[in-house]
Amino acid sequence: MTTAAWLVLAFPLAGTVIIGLGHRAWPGRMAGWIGTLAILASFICSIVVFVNLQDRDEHHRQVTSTLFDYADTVGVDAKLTILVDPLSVLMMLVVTGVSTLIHLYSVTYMTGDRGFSRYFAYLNFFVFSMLVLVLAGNFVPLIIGWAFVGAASYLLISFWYRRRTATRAGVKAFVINVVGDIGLMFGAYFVLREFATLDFLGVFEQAPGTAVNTGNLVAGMILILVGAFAKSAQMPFHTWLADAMEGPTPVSSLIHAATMVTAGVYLIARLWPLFEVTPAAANVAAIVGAVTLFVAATIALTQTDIKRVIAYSTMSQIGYMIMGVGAGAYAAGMFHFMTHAFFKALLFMGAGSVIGAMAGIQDMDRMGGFRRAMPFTFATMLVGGLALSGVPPFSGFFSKDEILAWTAQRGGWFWILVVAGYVAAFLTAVYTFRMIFRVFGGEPVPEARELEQGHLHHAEVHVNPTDGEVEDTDVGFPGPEHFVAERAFPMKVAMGTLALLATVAGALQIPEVTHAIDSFLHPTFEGSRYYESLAPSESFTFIGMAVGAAIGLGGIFVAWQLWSRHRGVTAQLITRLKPLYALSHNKWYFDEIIDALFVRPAAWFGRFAQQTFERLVVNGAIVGGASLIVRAGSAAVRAAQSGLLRSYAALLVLGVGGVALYFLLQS
Amino acid sequence: MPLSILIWLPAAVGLVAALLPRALGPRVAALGTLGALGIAIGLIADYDPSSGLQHVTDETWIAELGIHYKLGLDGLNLFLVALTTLGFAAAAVAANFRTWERSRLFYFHLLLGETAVLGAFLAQDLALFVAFFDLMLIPFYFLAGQWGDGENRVAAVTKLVVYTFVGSLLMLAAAIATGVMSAGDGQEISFALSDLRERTLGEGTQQWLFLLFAVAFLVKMPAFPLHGWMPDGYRAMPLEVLAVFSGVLSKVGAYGFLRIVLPTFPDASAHFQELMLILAVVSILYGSAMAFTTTNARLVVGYSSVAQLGFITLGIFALNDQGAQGALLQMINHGLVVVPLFLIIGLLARRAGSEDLRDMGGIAFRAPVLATLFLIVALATLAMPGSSNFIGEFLILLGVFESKMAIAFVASIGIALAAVYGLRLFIRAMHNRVGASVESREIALRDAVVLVPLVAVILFFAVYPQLALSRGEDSVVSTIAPAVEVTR
Repeated sequence: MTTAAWLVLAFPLAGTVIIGLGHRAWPGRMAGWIGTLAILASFICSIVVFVNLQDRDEHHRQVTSTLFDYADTVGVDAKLTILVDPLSVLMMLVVTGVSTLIHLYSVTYMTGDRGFSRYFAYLNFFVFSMLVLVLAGNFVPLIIGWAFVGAASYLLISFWYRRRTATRAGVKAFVINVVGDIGLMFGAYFVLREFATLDFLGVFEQAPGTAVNTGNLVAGMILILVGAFAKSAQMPFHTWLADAMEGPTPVSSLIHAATMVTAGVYLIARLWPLFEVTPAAANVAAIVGAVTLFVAATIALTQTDIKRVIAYSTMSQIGYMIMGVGAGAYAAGMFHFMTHAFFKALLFMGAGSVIGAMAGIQDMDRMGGFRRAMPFTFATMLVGGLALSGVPPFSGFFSKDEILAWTAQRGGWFWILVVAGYVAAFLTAVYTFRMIFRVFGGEPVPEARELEQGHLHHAEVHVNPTDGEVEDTDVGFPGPEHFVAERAFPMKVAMGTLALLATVAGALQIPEVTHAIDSFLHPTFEGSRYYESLAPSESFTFIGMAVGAAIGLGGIFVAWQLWSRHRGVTAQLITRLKPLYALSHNKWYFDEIIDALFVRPAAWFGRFAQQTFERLVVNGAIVGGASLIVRAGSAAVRAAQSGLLRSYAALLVLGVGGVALYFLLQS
Repeated sequence: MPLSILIWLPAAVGLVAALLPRALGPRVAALGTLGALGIAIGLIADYDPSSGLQHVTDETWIAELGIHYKLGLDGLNLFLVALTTLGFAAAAVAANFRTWERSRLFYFHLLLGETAVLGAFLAQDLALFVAFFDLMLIPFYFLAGQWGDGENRVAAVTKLVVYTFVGSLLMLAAAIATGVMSAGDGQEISFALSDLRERTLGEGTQQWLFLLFAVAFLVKMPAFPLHGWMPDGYRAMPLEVLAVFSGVLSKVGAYGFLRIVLPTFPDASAHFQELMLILAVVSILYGSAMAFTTTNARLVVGYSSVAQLGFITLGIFALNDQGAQGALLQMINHGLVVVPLFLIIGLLARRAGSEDLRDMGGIAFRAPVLATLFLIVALATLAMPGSSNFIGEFLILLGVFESKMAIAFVASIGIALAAVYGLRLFIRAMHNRVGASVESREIALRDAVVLVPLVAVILFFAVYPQLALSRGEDSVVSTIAPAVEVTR
């Protein structure tokens, strides 16, 4: 079984190497098919692992395997160990499964891009990295996978590297993620200090025996949360995610929606034995998740870039998951991770299709009336939107509701978080259907008419909307060709499959009916304080579901009123609620705050060092009197140009002799 | 015996090459460095981690002064020796692809430099160490002064010499004082490191001797605020020479702390621990800040080295096993990334017509192989997890975390800053719009011959840093044991 697990890792890595080494040799779409097949093979191996794991006795479903000692020295036991258990297998299945579909989608979507092979090499590398992260059974491989996905994310955000906006967004994402890595690393130090091992199972074994909320461990777990927040775009480490939309749309779908950004959720669930002995840190996670889910939902309301709307929605939905696993609703958090992966990947794919029809334009102000031109895209995005809004019987309804119901069971101040969750759920339905009504409803824009007449719109000149720069045609967005799902079979297959999953996946865990996720994950959470005890009562569950459904439908109704029935009414709202609008539209000014607190001081220090300190102090004062010595030295050197070696030797000998004589006389 | 052969082989080959016809000399010189590399690899294969100092040669050199020609190999210098031979081999081969004025003399100096560095790493006698340490300066003075490319190179080189020379003299005086004063009643004067370690000096004496050694080593690394010679000196050197100067020679200073200062002056090391840690942190922050503001590509690497050597100093003065192990690994790692970085900057400069980042840009499109190699080196430089550099930093910061937690947190800012300057260097050169006079073309086969093996070594250590860690562990732990004792 562990062989299959190692193969899960090996296929994407092999894909990267094969595509990379042959980047010139692969004709046409070959690189794309190689990449897709590699991930498909990995998915099949994941299924093999899954089946094998289910065959085992309930108490033996945690299997480890060590490849070799990585850095096993002076009390640090960093080994390349994988941990195969229900939690990692669930992640593995979703990651490889969704990745296969997104690779398939990309084979068409990226056709014509001059970086086609490079794209698939990066994408395969990303899947490899994500699987390292998921399978890690030791803090060091965890940190390695953690940083690798960050690097892959950087490479793909900056994929169109001639755009200054893309390279800048890439650096921002990378640096914020490095801050997260540092948090994770120092968190690991505290864990090592407490338990003298970096091995997950070794730590988990000792964790229940430690005192609750010891200072060291709480500090360590909060630092680990910094890592989780940075990767999962939770506040205040979230500003990179919206900028990350500079990457190709399938990348946003895979990395910045379905998989990588949920790593923080996985990490908290993975380390539950530690978080249960540090409830203070777990509470921090729950609160930050709640704040993020609310703030992000308010921001998504007023963005006009279609990808950014979905990006803030992602941030908000991950907030739900973080809140859930922080509050102890592990299965619910992981369940929502899974359904979210389906419907959010789908929404991004739909957005990609629309962007294809718009010849690269992402501004919703210029879209409209695509309903008839793109029936398939419309239908699938509607499914995704309904799942995201939490309308029964779509998958998102069950998973989101379960998080809120379980969190409410914690009682006390957790109710505040739950209320925030319900308010944000309403906002979610509003912004989701704002997007759908604005893109697909109303009068068709010229691009939509062109498509209705059977022709895909192409722009004469592409201009980067952010800085007005004319796009580079060598390595620039978008390639010369565009694709819409209606005309590309692979895209249709990928979106259709995800639409199906987004519709039915909720059936895995219908309250009081099915418990597939709960019982599957049970072996991982054996001994947890919350895993079973939090389960809400029957009546409570049904009240929660009724409220959730009503809120989702209510939000859709409001969106319909504002953006379909009474178009134009929003303009009045904006003028009347100007401060609120400004706050939301400017993303609560987080970019500006971070800029003022960190970026500017660092830049100032750099300039000060460069222009003032180095020149005046280092080259002036310290060297010295410096320049005097140098000038004297130069003069001496010039004088003895030919005989420098000799004078040096003479000086040396004189010096040695003098000092030696002194000490010999002294002794 | 194999150690003596290793040390003197480059100088001998250099001498022979200088006498050979002009067409043949450079080739022979390069072969000589490859031969030394071969010996070093053989030493790694042959190394037995459990048996302390190996291949010991111990001859009386100057009997009256108690100076011995004593060499020995252990876990502390094994991989540094290998790094030295690798760096010089890369530099010599790369230099072969350019034509040099008075080329035979050039290679003679280069190979003499290799001999000096190897001698310094392998010396087990303080006086011998000092002799080799000073010998290093001479060939590099000529290499920079005669074959350099800077405009004010004479002034720059003089500055370098003055700095290093002052440091050397201080160390020389300190070394003699150490040998003489540590000899107790009836004991012969001895400079053997093993003897000095046994003979403890008084605390006050240790302190001023410590300071003298520290200045010499900190200048060599260089560390803030003794790095004044670095910007000018680095600009003056040919890149092939600079690659070894920065990649290999700077390690001798850090190595000196581990090999000589910590075991010989344990009380003083503990006494000045905080001072050294603070100097190291300032080096990290200051070097990083300079690295992300300067526009000269080679100075980006130069200042990043100030920061990286700050991390190494940090690990050494954590005064525990984790810190020292990390510092040793990081010395190897830093050498492994700096050598290819300077060679890559040479390639970039040839494409952009300048070493200024503002003139570069957009090279990646037509040079994907070069871009990939550069990316791997850049990510290793910024110590991305998964690189061996990360394990080095992980151990260093763990060591500091265990001894002075607050300093570890401040130093960690340096990791984030490294990401900024590392990526900035890469992006400004390879990405964004194509620079005005950039001629974008792929790496040539002959450049790949040098770069690909270096990158392969980086990747190898990224996958298996344990190779260096397991061979170093016993020696590192026992070498720094006296200082660790004191802090307990």
